[in-house]
Amino acid sequence: MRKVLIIAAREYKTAVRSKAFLISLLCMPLLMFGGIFVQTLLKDHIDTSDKIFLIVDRTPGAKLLPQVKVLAELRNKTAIFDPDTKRRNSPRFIIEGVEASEPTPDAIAKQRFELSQRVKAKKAVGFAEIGPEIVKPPLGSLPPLDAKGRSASNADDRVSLRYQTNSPLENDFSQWIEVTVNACVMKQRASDKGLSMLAVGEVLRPVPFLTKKLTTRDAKGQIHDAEDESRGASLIVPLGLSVMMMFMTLVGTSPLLQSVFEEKTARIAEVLLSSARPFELMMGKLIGAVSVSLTTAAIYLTASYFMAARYGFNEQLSPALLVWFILFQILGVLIYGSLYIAIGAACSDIRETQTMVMPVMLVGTMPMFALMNAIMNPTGVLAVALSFFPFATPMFMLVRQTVPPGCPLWQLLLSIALMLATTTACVYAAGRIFRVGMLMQGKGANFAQMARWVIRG
Amino acid sequence: MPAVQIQSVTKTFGSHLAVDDLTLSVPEGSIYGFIGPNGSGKTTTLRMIMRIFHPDRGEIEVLGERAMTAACERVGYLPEERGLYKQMRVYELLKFYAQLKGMKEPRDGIERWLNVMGLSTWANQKISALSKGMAQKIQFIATVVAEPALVLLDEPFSGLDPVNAVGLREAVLSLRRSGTTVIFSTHDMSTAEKMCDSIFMIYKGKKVLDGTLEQIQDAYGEDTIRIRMGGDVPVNFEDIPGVHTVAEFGRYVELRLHPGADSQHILSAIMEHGEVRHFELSRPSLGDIFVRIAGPGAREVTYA
Repeated sequence: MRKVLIIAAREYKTAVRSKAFLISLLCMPLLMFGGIFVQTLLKDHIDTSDKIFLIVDRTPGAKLLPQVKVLAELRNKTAIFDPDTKRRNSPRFIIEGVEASEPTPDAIAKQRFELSQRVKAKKAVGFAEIGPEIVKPPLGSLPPLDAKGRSASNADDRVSLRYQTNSPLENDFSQWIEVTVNACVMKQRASDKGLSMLAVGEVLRPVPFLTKKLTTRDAKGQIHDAEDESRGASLIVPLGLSVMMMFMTLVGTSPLLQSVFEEKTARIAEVLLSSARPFELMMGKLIGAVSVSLTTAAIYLTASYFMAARYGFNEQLSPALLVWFILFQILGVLIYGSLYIAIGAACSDIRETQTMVMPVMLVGTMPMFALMNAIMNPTGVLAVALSFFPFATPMFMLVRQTVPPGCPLWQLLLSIALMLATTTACVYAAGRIFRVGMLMQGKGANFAQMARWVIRG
Repeated sequence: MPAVQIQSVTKTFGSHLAVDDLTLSVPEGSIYGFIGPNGSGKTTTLRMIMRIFHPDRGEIEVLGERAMTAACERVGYLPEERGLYKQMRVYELLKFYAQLKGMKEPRDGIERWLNVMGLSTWANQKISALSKGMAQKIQFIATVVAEPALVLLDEPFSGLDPVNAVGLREAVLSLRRSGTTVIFSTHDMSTAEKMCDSIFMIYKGKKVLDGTLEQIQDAYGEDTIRIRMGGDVPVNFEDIPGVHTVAEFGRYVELRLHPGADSQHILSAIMEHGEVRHFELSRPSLGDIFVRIAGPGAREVTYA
């Protein structure tokens, strides 16, 4: 055991003193918060130059166009400024009316082509057409509404609002024109039926919708009202924690690949093996790696705790969760660390290690693509299944612990049992590969050979 | 009690027989030289003594211990393939190795050895800043700093310049004076002749020589004539009866005689061909014996 600790201490010192460690320590917050920072930065540099849109009003007498223009003017005066800084934060919409063509299909097609050419020539951002029968669609001309109560997109042009553009990702205008034309049309429909717009507005007014957490009772029997559910926090905490864990597993284990590879290729292995048993050597390395990742964890968790406290998320970072975090972190480092050790011991040049590391990285990172799904639906089949896949257990169990309703104890224990079994298997296999591989020079081994070493020793 | 007792040990790698039924006893406090051509099984034998490899058959007792790891802390090993952590500092590295060998307070030992090797000023330098010779001396210190009772050195002198080689030789001799048993392998026969109390030669996995230099040479007898001729008259020594082989060295010629051949008859036969300036009857050198066993045309015979 003493030798294991001496080796662990050397591994730890070498890893923590290396430049790579410092750089990766700085990289993590950069990666995580860099996105937010860039967005805030870009917010101030948003394109606020005037945008020109063309509108063809095909309704009889083109009665909607003037109303749309009035509403656009209103928006340009009131709705394009930041409420705090009074600075412009979005562009003005300049509406240019275009006289409707003859209502024949050919004439309409020709006009659409001409308008498209104007958009292409950057004379406008896009053009909208208001269908001639939009106010009073003939019976049966509208397709049924979908499950969410929205109009389907396969309706006839004659009863629709139609927008064409070559920059479909700029959706500020398309959202605005949809709402605006709807308002104008509804107003027209109401007055056609002799209803007051005020009355219609009252009828259609949506109800307020509140989301809260569960009501709790404290030790004194006092019932506390539920707190507001913060969707931001319930997303950021699990996502942040599991991405952080993945990152720390990588930071903690990748030096192992390097150090084993260095010991093998620089022929240090033989001296080490003359002083310590292969198993002691490997355990020392793993303990070193676990300590490195726990150091990172301590740094980041303290920082995140203060951040979370500042933004009011700290309630989600319960001490129990931190204990699970550290437990899963340790198991993850042991699994990935032993895989890296096996690869380092089996390879004899740096390109080989890269090829061999690829599958390990894939297994480690692929589950991340399912992470959002798991956060949204923590009891779904995918989330549950992946939390029993030992290479993904740390990430997914952490998510399922953080997102209500949490995870049943038996599932938690089962996943830990599976992970422990996998960890033992990995450490055992890596130990056998390590023993044979460290003294093998010349050609590196492939996966088949490594498997043979594991079986025959 | 012998420091190392190897009893009927066999080791194979796949279909390759690396060490074949080897028995060897290394007495305590001696300097034992391992010689043999490349690939003959020297390093495998050393690694088995170190418990890095385990023999397929037979037993190895090191410092009276048969258990796999019991003796490991009292044995120092300098492998043939040398390497050190490039990013570590000299002192830190020596401390690491000393601690791995179970030394609790290695500071004094490290400082003393750095001093002996003339490297005191380099203690805080990184390994990557050292020359190859210095790195080799550091590796030697790493091997001996924990005061092992047995030291195995695989090719300790290879790659050292003559000055460093002398320094290392003195260090090895001082180890023996302090009672340490030293086993070293070498390709340099004159070093082996001068330094070793006993010499062991392994060839194709089998022991072919084992004993003191005198014992080995006695086994061959005085069968070598070293001769220098005057003038430029070419002499066909092969045609002289009793001559087994001829080795030309430029300034002199070495003749190996058939067993039982009379050196005086040969001398008079040579004198008929020209002027003899120098005639010396001697025992074969270790290098000679080595080449006779392992050289081209060698017969696979166990001489020991």
